[in-house]
This record gives sequence, structure tokens and C-alpha cells, in this order.
Amino acid sequence: MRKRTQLVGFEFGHWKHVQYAAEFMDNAIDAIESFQWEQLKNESKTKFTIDKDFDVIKFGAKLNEDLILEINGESYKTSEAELKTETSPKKIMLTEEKPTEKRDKKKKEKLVKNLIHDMEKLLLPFEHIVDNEPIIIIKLTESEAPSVLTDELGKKNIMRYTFEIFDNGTGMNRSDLRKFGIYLASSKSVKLKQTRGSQGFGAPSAFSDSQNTTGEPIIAVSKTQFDVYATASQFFTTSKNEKKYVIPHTEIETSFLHGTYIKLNYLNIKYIARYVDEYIKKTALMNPHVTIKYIDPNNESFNYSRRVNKFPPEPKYALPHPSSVNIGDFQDYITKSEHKTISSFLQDSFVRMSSKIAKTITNKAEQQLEEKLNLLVVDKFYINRAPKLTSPIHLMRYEPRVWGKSTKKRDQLITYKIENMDLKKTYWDLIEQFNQECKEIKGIQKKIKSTKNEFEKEKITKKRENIIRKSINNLNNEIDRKEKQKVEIKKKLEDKFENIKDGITELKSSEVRTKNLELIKKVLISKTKPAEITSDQFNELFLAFKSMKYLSPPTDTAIPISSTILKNILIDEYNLNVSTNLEDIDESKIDLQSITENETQREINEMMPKDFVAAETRSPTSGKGLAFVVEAALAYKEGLESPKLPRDILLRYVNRTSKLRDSADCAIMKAAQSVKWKENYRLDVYDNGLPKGPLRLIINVSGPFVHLMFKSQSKNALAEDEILMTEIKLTLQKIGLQIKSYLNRREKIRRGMDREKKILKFIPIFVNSLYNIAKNEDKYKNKLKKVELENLLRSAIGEKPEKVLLPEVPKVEKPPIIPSKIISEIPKPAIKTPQISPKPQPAKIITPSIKTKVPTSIGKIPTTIPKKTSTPKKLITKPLISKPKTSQPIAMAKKLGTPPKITPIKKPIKKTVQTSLPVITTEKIFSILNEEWQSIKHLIFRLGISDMMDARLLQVKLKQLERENKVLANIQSGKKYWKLKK
Amino acid sequence: MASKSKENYDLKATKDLLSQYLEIGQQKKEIKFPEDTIKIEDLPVKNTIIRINELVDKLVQVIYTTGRPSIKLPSRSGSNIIWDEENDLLLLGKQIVEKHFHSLTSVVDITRLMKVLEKIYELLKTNDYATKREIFYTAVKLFQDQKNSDKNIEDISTMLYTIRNSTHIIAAPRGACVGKLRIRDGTEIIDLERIGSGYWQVSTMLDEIDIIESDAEFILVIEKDAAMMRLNKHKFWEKYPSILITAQGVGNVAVRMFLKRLSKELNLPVFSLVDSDPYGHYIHSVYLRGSKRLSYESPFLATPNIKLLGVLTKDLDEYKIPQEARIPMNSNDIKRIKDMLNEKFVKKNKKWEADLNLALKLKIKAEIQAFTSHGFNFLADKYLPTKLTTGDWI
Repeated sequence: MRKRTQLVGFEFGHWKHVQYAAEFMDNAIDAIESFQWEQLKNESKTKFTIDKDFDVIKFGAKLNEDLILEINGESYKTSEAELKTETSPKKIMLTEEKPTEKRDKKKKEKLVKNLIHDMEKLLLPFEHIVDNEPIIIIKLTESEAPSVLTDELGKKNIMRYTFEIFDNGTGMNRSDLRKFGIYLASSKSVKLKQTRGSQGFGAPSAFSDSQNTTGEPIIAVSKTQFDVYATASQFFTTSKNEKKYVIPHTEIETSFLHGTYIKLNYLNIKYIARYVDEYIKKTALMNPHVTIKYIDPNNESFNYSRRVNKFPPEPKYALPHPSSVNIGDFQDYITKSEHKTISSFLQDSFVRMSSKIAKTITNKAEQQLEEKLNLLVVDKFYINRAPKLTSPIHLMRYEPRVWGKSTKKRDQLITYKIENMDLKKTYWDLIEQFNQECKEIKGIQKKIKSTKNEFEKEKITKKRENIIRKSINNLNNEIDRKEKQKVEIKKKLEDKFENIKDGITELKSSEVRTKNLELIKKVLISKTKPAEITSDQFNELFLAFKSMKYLSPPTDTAIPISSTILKNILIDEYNLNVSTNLEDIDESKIDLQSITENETQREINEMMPKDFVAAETRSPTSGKGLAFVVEAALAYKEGLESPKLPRDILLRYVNRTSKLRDSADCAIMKAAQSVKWKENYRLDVYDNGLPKGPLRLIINVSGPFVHLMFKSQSKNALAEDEILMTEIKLTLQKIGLQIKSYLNRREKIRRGMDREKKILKFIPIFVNSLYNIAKNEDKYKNKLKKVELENLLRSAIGEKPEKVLLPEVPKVEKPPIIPSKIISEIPKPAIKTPQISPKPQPAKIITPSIKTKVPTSIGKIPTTIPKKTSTPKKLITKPLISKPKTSQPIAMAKKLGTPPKITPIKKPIKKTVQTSLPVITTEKIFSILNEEWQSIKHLIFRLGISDMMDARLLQVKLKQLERENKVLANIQSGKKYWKLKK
Repeated sequence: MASKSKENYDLKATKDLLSQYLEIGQQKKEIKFPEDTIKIEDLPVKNTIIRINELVDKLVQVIYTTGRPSIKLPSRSGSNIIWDEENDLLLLGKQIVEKHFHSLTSVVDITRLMKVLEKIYELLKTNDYATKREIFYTAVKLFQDQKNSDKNIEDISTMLYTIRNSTHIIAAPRGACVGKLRIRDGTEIIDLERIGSGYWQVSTMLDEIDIIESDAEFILVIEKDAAMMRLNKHKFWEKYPSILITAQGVGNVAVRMFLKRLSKELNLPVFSLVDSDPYGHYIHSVYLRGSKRLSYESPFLATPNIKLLGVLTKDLDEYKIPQEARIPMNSNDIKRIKDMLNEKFVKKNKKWEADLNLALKLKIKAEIQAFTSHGFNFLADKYLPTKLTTGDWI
């Protein structure tokens, strides 16, 4: 078993808080998930009904009130002070002075009461829904550390923290709880499953740390749905890996049907914000199927409601894949195996292992062992491979002989020595061939190795690579051929030496027999039990095991969060305003008539494309024998604050747990840095290669990981695997394309807006001038209005003008002059004074031909002189009068694909469907209750309840009655007793 | 032919030229216009207003139908203009530059155009005039620089198929005129014979000016003010009926426009009297051809039939200008001569070319006043009459 004594990174520091939170929260989520999957399998009624939306804020209000429960008339405050006094030396002295059993019992009762009290206080707001909703509550309280603890540490600012966590997952029954803290009964230790996995240290280490720093015990309360009472205990874990109980396992009554509650104390430097709450926030982001509530030492409450209506699907168990197994693990598996043959062991322990492959492996291993131990296994007998010509040749086979006192003939191994020279000769011929083949094989193997070395030497072109690969293939083929030859030789041996009776002498000594028996045993790996494997056998087996080629592992072991859920998460988280149909952006128009100066900003916002979200999930692949699936999402919103550190733009998740540390080492970060954001996708880039801007990038890698995929024990960074990096890069590139088109669209619209702004500026001036001229015309007198003109111009902004095909412009030539007759006579010029008419008229040109028109009318803007042939009709078609569009932008739904929110019903009292009449009515309860104090077990018995759900209902009803003051309740040693009220 | 008594020059050549003009003027020609062209003409106020109204009308219609107004300007590129010199026509082709309101590149331009149009309309309505600078100052923020408003003024005149003057945006008046001419300026009648010792300053508000009558036989354009003064004092125009104009340097728009008007309406031969240096030749070319910048409006500013009377380079020797009065040329002058020799209109004119080459060879120049070496009145009494009689012009 994997040993859990890795005490990693337990220094005082801010991260310690996070480590505690991380470890237990991971387990809590795992517990909840396993519970729900189990219920869904069996279609039980106790599953979480999460069809409706849940708003934890409504419940959060209650917790802020300073509720002090009244139990039996006495008020109890938090048990911190009490517990503290327990450990202070003085008080212990006092208690030791009068050690009476009664006192002990009372003390224990008090402790139990306090325990219950704290737990119930935590659960109070969620009492009614703790069966329906998956909830995790974490509370961290700060208090002064007693000086006995801090004096020696010499550090300032050390405070004592109480860490409480509750989850309503599967819970543990009594026996499991016993093991809790010794090793974590996680689902991973048996088989590989996609679960969160520990943060590198595990619960026992947390317990050790808590004890080491504070010397205080740990409280654990847990209940499965099949128990009536929960089991509570307070204990120390000891170095002997045992538990020492302060409160032994006690049955107490709890308000939850199933779940776990853990409470412990530790010392650490002063809590500051933005470590634990960041971690919890990010985890809550990726686990939208649970509700998480966190109360920090400053009494600030962080609530993260459940956001989705479905649990993620259960990932399938997977056996490990051969490529992911290293020699240590293999050893582990094989020594613990209970199989009878290696072949069955292989098939049952690994995925993608067929019987054929298993057989091949064993055969290979056997053959290697044969060569190594110089014993050839032929079909019906065994023959040794003599090293020299002079060494004896032994032939062994099973023959029925009588042994000892028995009269029956039983198969015994008989060793013969070959004496006949002919036989020897044949033997040597064949063996020499055999040896030759072996030698050649070795030579070829060396060759292969050297070529592979060349592979890794320098940069080789692809062509060369292919050539090398081909040659390696050829060499491998040769080896196969030679192996076949060896088999042939063996066959020949078989032919020759089978059933020989002459020329051989029997060696009767028992030493020889035992020796040979052992030898055979060593060689015959196919007949060995896995648990009894020798080291030689193991080595050869492992070599053969690793040398085979396997199909990629099945990919249904890796379950991603789907793209839609990712998108919804981001939309919810950052309040994105995303349109349902991204193509609608161009069509949204607004009523331009009512625009004033102040409204231009709103106009811009409305016309701009809304915020952007994109998510991409790749299909699962595998690398290093482990399946994984990569998915990423990007949210872009104008005005989103940039994080303080550039690396916080990227949120890394592995199996839905947030990874906050070691980001520079992580494969995810490196892959994100390797994408060319600036060149290809129009995004600005930080120095470290991450995209810059009002955006957030989330990458999640899911899969049944083992320490193979992580870089270090702390499991904060993924190892750089080529396949993994390519996958991440491809995902990001796809997203990049989407955001590029989005950003382009925004640019286009912004440019359009700029253009519009400029044009809007000039409209009034233009209209003014136009108006001043036009108003003098009779036509327009008193009919023209400036405002009207302005609006018309405004509304035409943004429309695209229709394309106009201008007719060809002819080049202007000189007018040909046709001198005609002098029409009028030239009067003889009087030298003196030629009179000149007072007002010379503008030159009149008389045209003879009909073809040409002439600007005859003075004053009008001259029309052009038309051509002979009909001019091409003007292709400028006047577009229809476009009324300013008054449609409002389409109301965009915020979320994609979630049903409308319904306020949760306050008191969901379950009504179980029973075949018989409902047993649990108030009357019935009253009929059962009497003057005596009865525990719930009694009531269950008396009512004849067999179903767990009914029991639960009874419990709830009793509580309700208690609240209404119709029955009396009393708690004794953790259990509640009920009585009628008079 | 030096004689102390006043010889009677009969200005034969000039008179022949005059009669020639009169004859041509009577002929009416048929002109076949090329297709899709529009004539640019000078418009009276009323017509300009009508055109503006039409334009605005169209714009409003467009706004009511599509909401996307645009202004169409005929292109003033070389391929779209023809200037028929012989018939004195300026035609614009159909190439149009369209400026849309709803386009980022032209929204400023069209707004400015509209502004200028508004101001022009105002001017026309009130029969007022304004200079380019004043237009700029009407909306400084919008125009930002006077270059923009100037350009827009030109654009508008193109748009209305007229010349800038019709829009009542005028240049400052400059230049002087005197001689046998009677004009009506608004409501006044001005007789340029009875102006005294001064001159009539050429006004740019040309649509207020009507030419009533003239006795002159030719028009003389003089470069230098000083020469004009001498001629005026001498009553040269009385003796030889003519009109004297000077621009006091390079011909400015006012003078050129007025000159064009005179020459067109009166149909008189026009001569220029400039210094015998490359700059003088350049001045003559401006009168002849118009400046390069306003080439679009050249027909209204250029007098294509102006003749270079003096002082020609060969006259320096012919009329025996002493060596002391001649000035050597500097490099600028030589460059200018070379540039002029490259011009098309010089190449067409062989005489001019020959004269320029001679000047290039001799590398000397002289002013008109150089003639005073022969006496104060040599210019008026001898030089000009001789030249006018012999027809010794280019």
C-alpha cells in the first residue's frame, strides 16, 4: 500500500491554512460525489434532489445572527474556552485530584454536548435542506494561542485556529471511522479512479500536525444513511499508528441523514485573506454541483451556491495501463496478488491486456529464463544447455515411478545423462545452431540500441528519422525470424530426443533430482504463482511486460466538465452579458431619433458586441498510459479587473481542484505560454507569455492521475508530457480563433462608431447652411425644418450605400468647327467709331443639327449634352425611404440552457410513497409518545418503521413538533429523548 | 529717321489688324459641341442665384429620399477640360467628383462647401462682395486654414459652371487704366478720358461694370507704372486713340480680367509693353496664357491675341540703346529664358523664339526707361508709333 507518511510542507505560513482547507475539502467533495453516484446507481430515494436552483445567500443570513441555542435551559457558548481549560495544566491537576467515575462521565457528557452544540450551530441554517442539497461548510476561527505553546516557538503572530468542516457525503460507519486518521480510506488506494486525490500529505499528517502544534485531540463525527445514530469520537493519533480516545465512539443524534464532521485545532501565523478564501472560491468555481460555505476568522461568510442541476457523470474505474506502471508498482501488485497463474494475474490487473498478450509475455519471459538458466524446455522433457563440449548433457522428464512406501506409480522427474555419441553429436549440432542464433540476436539488439542512440544525438531531418525507424523495424523483424528459428531447433530437438530409451543413463541421486526440480521451477514461469515469483523470473517478466505494445487505455475514465457548464460558470461568475446568437450583433439598431449628447455612451454600449465567453473540450486521449482530457474556457469582459499578478490570469485546475502554487513549473502554464497570443489572436501579452487584458483563462485537466502525472509530491504542477502540452495548446488555439473574431468585430464596430461621431458633429453645421439658403425659396418657405433635416441625416448613418455603376466617362475632345456660310454680311468697318451694343449678350451658339442639345435656358444648371445612342440608364437606384428603425435590442438571456430560477420552498417535507397507509402522522406520533422519555430508536420500533426515509421523516417531524412546543425533548449523552407535553 | 517735328505715324499696321478683327468678329461660326460637355461662362447675379437654388433644391430632395446628400463637382483635371482658344470656349467634360456627406473622408469638405455656398448666397442676395480672406473669417474653426476656404471657393465656382467672379468673391482691386473708354460702374458713368492726371483703378466687381463706348483703336498693356505715367502725361492715348492699362508688375486677376473683357467686347488689338528681360517676357506670357495655377479659369483671364510689342531684344540694337543702359543677365534670368523656351506657346511663335534665343546669346537686358537715354519722350514719340506702324511685334 502506498505509505502515507509523507509529511510534506507543514511549515508555519500562509499556505498551511490552505493545505488544511484543501485536503479536507477534497475529501468532502469526493465523499459527496461518491454518495450521489451510489444513489443514482440504485435509484434510491435518499439521493440529492438538485433539480431546482439553490441560493445559499438566503440561508446565510441566519448564520450572521448570534444564535445561542438553549438546551435544557442552559446556554452554551462555543466550546473553545472549555476545551482550552482542558489542556491547561492547572485544570488537569484539579481533575486529577478527584478522579471519580461520575465526574468523568459528566465531563464526557459535557464534551459530547459541546461537540453536538458546535456542530448543530454550524448546520443550523441548512437544517431543512441538508438531505437534499450537497453542502460543505468550512469554518475557521481564530483565538489566542496559550503561551505554553508559543513561547518556545519564538515567532510572533502565532495564533490558534480551529478548523471545522462538515459535508453531507457518504459518511463513515463505525468501523470505517475507526480506521480514519490511520490511513485514509480513499477510493484511490484500491483502484484508479478520477478523484481528487490528496494534496500530498493526507489526513493522518494533518492530524499529526494538529497534535504536534497544539496537543489537542481531533473530533470526528460521521454517519451513513443506514445508521440511525451518528458515531462521534474525539481522539489522538499516536506514533504507533493507533488511536487514543478522549471520547470513545459514542452514538449521538444528529440533524443530518449522512455526512461527516471534523474539527481540529492547529497553530499557524496570523490568518490573512486571499489565501484560503481564494482557494475555496476557485474550487467552488469548478465544482458547481455543490454548495460551499466558508466562514473565516473575521466572521465573514463566503457563500457559493450550487449552480447546476446535474451531477457530473461518474468516471469509471480503470485498471492501470501497462505503460504507466513502474517496477515498484508492479512488484506491489504481483506480491499481493492471489491469482494462481501469471497470465491470469496480468489479465486481471491491467487494462488492455488480453489473454494473447499475457501468453506472449509469459512465453517471452520463459524463453529468456531458459537461456539464462541454461535449461531448454521442450514439449515433453527438459534438456540442459551444456556450456562446453565436455559438460554432461542431462535430459529430464516426468515418468511414472513408484516411490517410497506407496505402491502406485506417480509422476516423478527423472534425470538422464546422455552417453551415446551419436545422440551427443546431434545434440551438439542443434545446440550450436541454437547458440549461434542467440548470439546473433544479441548482436542485433546491440545494433538497435546504437541506432536508437543516434536518434537522440543531433537534430535529424524527418527523412533520416524515417530511415532509422525503418532500419530498426527491419532489425526487429530479423530478431523475430531468429526466434522462430530457435523454436524450429527446439522442435528438432524434440523430434530427435523424444522417447529415447537407449544411450541414456539414469542419474538416481536425490540431490540431482531436487536440484533439477528447483531449476525447472525457476524456469517455468508459466506455472509459477505470482506471489511466489523469484527475482530472476520477476525481472524477465517485467522486461517482457514492458516491451510489448499496448493499445491506448480506455478514455472513459476521464470525465471532463462539459463546455456548456464551463461557459455557464464563467457567465455566472463574472456577470457576463453574452448574446445568445453572436450573429445578431450587426442587426441590433437603436432608435436614433432620441439621441442626445449624454446618451451617446449608452448607444455605444448597446451597439458594441457584448462580452465574450468561449469554452472548448477536447476528446480524451492518453499519454504515458493514463487517459486524460483537457478543457479550457476564456471569459472576456470590458472592465474586468486585471489581477495583481500576471500569472493569475490563468486559473489552473487538475481534476477540478485549483492549483495555486508552482505555476511556473506546471505543464499547463508552459503550454499556455507557448501559444502565440499576440501574433495570431490579437491579444496583448505579458512578459511571461500569458494573454493580457480584461479576461480570465481557465484550463482544467481531468483524468485518473497518479503521481506519474505530477511533478512533485506536493502535486501542484503537472509534468511536462508532450502529448499533454500539445492537447492544451490545441484547445487554446481553438479558443483563440473565437476570440479573434470577436475582437475583430468589436474593432469594426468601434471604428464605425468613431466615424459616426465625426459625422454627427458636422450635421448641424451642414443643415444650418443648407437651411439658410433653402428657406428663401418659395417652395420651402415655412415648410422646412432644421430638426427634421438633421434627423434624416442622422438616421442615414450606418447604412451602406448601394453600389453605383458609373457609366463610362468619355474623354472630352475639341469641338469640331464647321465653318458655315457667313450668315450676315460684315458691315464695312468704320474706322472711326464702331458702335458697340450696350449690353453684349452671352455668346449664342446656333446648332444646326437636331442631335446636339444646347444649353438654351440661361440660369438653369445646364444639362449635359446627351449622346447619340441612348445613354446607359442611371444605375443609381434610389433606395426606398428607410424609416429609422425603432426596434429595441433583443433581450438577451444571461445563461445558456438553465431553467428559470424558482425560489426554494422553505420546508420541503418529503412525502414518501408507501404501499400501506402513511404511518407517520402527527396523531400517530402523539399516540406513541407517552410520559416516559423515549429515544428515536424506540419510536421507530414502536411505529414499525422499516424504511430509512420514514425514520428520517419521523425525526424531522419530531423536531418540528419540538419547535412548536408540542413535545418535550431532552439530550442525554448525545441522544435525544422525547416525551409528551402536558 | 530722326526728325524734330512730330512725324505723323499713321499706325497703319495696327489699323489693319483692327479691321481684321472686326471682320472675324462678324462671322458666325457653327460649333459642334462634343457630347457630354458643359460650357463655363460668366453669369450675372440672378442666374447664379438660380443655379444655387437649383443645387440646394436637389440636395434637399436627396435628403428627404435617401438621407445621404452628396455634391457633385466636375473634375478639373486635364482630361476633363478643353479650352478652345479660337472660339474662346471652355468646356468641362462629364467627369464628376462626388463628395458624400456620410463618408469620413469628405464630410468635412462637404460641410465647408455648404458653408461657403451659404456665404456666397448671402453676398449675391445683398449684392455684396467679399474677398477670400473674409470668407475664411466667417467660420475660422471650420476652415482651419485659408487654403481650405480658397479651395472650396474654386470648387463652388466649378460646381455652378461659372467663374469665381460670378460668386462675388473678388480679389483686391489693383492696376490702373486710362484712355479712350467710357464705362458705367453701377450707377455712375466714368469717362476715362477725363480723369485728370491720375488713373482709374481697375475694379474687380466686374459685373457692375459695363462698357459703354470706346474710340480706341488698340489697347496697350504696360508693365511699369513709370512708363504709364509718362505716356499718360504725354496724352499718348489722345494722340493715338487707345486705352492704356497697367498692372504695376505682374498681371493680377483684376487687370487681366478687365483686359480680357475689353479685348473681347471691343475687339481691339492688344499690345504689351514690357521690359526687355526674361521677366518681362514672362509677364507677357501671363497675359497671353494665364497663370498655371488658375489654368482652369484661363479663358476669362487670358488674352490669347495679345502681341508683344516691346521691348524686344533686337530693338536694343535697332533703336541704339547705349551699352551703359544695358544690364547683364544673371543666372536666374538665364534659367527663366530656358524655361520659356520650353513652353509650347513659345515654340509655336518663331519670332518670339528667335528673340529669346538672341537674348540668351547676348545675355543682356534692358528696361523700358532705357529709352530715356534718347530723351524723355522718345518712347512716346518715336518708339511706340514706329513699332505700331511697322507692325514690328511678336
